[in-house]
Amino acid sequence: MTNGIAKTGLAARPKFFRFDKFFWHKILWFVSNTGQPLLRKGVGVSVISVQNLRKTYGKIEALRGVSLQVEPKQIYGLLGQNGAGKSTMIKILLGIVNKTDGEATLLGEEAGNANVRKRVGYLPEDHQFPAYHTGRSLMHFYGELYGLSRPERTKRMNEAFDIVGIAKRADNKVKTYSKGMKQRLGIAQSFFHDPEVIFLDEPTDGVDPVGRKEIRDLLGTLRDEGRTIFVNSHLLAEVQLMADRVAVIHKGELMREGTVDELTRQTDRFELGLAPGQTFPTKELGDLGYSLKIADGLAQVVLNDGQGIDPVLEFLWQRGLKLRHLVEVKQSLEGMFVDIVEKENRDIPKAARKARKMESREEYE
Amino acid sequence: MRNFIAVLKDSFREAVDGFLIWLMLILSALAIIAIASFGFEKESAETSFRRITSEFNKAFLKRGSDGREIGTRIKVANQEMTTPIVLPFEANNVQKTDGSSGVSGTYTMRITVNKPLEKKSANPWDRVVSSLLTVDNFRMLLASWAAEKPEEREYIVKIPKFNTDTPSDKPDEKMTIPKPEAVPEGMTAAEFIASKNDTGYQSFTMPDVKPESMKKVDTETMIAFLKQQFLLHGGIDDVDVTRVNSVAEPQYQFDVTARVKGIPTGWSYNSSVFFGSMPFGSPNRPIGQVIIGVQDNIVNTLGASIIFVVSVILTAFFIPNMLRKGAVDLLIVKPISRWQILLYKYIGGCTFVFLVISFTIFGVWAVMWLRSGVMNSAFLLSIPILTFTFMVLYAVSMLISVLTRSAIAAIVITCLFMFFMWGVGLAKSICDISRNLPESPLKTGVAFNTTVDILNAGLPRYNDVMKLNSRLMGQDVLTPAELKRSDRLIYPSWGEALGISFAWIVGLYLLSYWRFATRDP
Repeated sequence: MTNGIAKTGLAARPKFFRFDKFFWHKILWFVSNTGQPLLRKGVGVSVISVQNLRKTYGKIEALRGVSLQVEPKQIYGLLGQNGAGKSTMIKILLGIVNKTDGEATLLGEEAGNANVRKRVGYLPEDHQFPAYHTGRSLMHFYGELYGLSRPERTKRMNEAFDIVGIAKRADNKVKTYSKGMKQRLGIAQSFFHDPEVIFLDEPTDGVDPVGRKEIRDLLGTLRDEGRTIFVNSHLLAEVQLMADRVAVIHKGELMREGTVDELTRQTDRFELGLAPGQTFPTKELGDLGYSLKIADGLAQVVLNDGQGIDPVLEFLWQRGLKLRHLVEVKQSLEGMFVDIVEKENRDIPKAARKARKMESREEYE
Repeated sequence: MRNFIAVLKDSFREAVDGFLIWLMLILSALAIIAIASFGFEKESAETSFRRITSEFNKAFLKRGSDGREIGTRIKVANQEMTTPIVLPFEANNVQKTDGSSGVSGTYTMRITVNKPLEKKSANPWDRVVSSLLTVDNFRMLLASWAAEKPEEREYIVKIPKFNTDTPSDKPDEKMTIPKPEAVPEGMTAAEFIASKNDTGYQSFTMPDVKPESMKKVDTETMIAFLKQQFLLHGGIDDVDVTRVNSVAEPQYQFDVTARVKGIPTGWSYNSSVFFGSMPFGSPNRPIGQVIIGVQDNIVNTLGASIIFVVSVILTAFFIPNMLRKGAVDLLIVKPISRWQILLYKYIGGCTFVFLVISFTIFGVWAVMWLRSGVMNSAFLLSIPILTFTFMVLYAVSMLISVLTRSAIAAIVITCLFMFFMWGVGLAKSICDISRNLPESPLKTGVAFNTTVDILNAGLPRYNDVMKLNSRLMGQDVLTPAELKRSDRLIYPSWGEALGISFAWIVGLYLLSYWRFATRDP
């Protein structure tokens, strides 16, 4: 990250047909199993597929029948409050916790499968690296578990250290690292072994604003190299800036899912500006049934059911008013999220809400 | 394999990161230095040969091929205790004839077998036995030694009471010495005691050699006996013996030429500590006793207990640290199964302790070798044996760690378990004594005995393994007689001792794995 966002160089090459000592074995295997390797690697199928996934911890329902699909080569953001079930879903996909019910596959294989874990990177929330390791020895340890040879480990970890900007501290003990440095190390260990999917749970936690931008750029680069990145976060602005698709999870249920554009678009709200010196005919438009709010010389027109913006534009033109500014107002991801949470809380009867609050508190604790 | 090496290296890195490992290594180094301060001074040939021959009355049946000693045998706590026949052997005029320096060489001497002095012993048992002996104890001893089927007889006697106020070296004149009664033909000692309606009787076996058997003992038998005794008590196997015929029986004399190679196990030494500033143990002892005294009693018992406790503390943090929230996730998502993570971590802890034990044992072995000139290779077997014993303790620690994720709980419970195993072993010994020795002051009830037997049968054999290790350790340094004597003690089998302990290790691992695999981190 310190040298700008160059290609990470780890996944630019085709993975399966990489020319290595197993090249001819793979060719023979491919010929005798036409098509299967690509399917197994997730080409043409969802990288992550979750159907009606449920997880209970005792009496607490952490996930209540969540279904979603994540396609390859995208940054997928999972939003939710603390205790919404975001981390639980990742842990089920990675085999860290066992699901209670439902289907979950990762790269076309049953979630938690040990083989598939080789092709996955993960940065947990509140991770704790063994304090007795240096950054370098930790990467050697993890690299050995991924089956990387020593020269391969050394080459890849040096690249990764450069990318995340901790190369100078790589030989210091992890216990001497700041929180931000630990986070950078965590990100480095999540991608240095060349995974196809990377799960990041609150990746920008504890990182300064400059570092956050560097992380965002890095994730973009990793996505452009063909990796799928699954990000859990409650920092909505961060997700909005980096994610291709977003899902909102609230108290174990999937509330919304789509691209950032789809989720933030509002079809009932426009912002209008007139030429200097002209004033909005607020009263007249009100009489026509439109509600207007004026702020900083711009008018926000809220359309009611069945109304369109065209009658307003026509009315202004007829009055000789010159339009200089017209924008369909988009809601921020944060606004959308807050709306969902508030609506959910409104829709739930008071008693049930109280019960859920209790559950949520227990879950959080 | 790569995963295994990776976890092993990780465990090692974790261990050397703390101060405890350095404390442990410093303690081990200090122990090695302290043992290096032991001094071993060889006694003169005369002193050594006099001590060796003084042991010659301790003979074994069937020309030494039987493990049972000749003498008065009583059974105490499942172990046969033998009091040898009183018979003084003396080596005189010991000379080295080949002019070489050092212990190796050719020695000549005259051995005299005297009639026992008429002396009232302070020990009432000796006085009971003396009342049954013949005049020519040497011929009686040899007749028993040479016989294919030894002539023996069972007696019962009302156990004489010791007067604790009387000094042990002075006979109590007022003491009543009971007369032993021979067990009648066709009756066992137990039946005979039962017929007395008195629980105060004890049975014992004595040589009962007939006069004609004693007459059959010829010079050839005497020479063979002495050669055998040189081998058994001195570890000297190249000996020529000639009888001096001019001496009247019941005194006997023999001229002996002994060719000694290296340092025989029966050679006498004086030992000291702190580089000769303080004597250690009684003087004029075979070197094997001193070496075993240090290696078994100090290192293998006291030292091992300290090593175990420190190792339990040191390694108890490995698994709870690995299971910490945020740390375990990072491991589980790697392409390694949970059974492998747990097993490799366990082996990592054991390997680390193996290295510490190896350092200590090897260091002690090396300095003892350098200081005494005796290389006791069997002592090195303590490395795998102590490591195996620790493996049981670490399996307990692993289970507690997985259940509680607390290093403190693992330390406390593992140490308690260790002391519990040791306590059950001790209680088992007490129960055995109580069951087999009516006069024992240690009285245990049936319920207690049964409980201890059940616990001992089911628990890992901590004491048994240590006991077997002690026996193994003496193989190269003790005299054949000392080894024979130790073989007469009841030992558990290696298979039983290791098998039950290993079953515990496997069981504890499976339980730990089950919990680790089914519990969400």
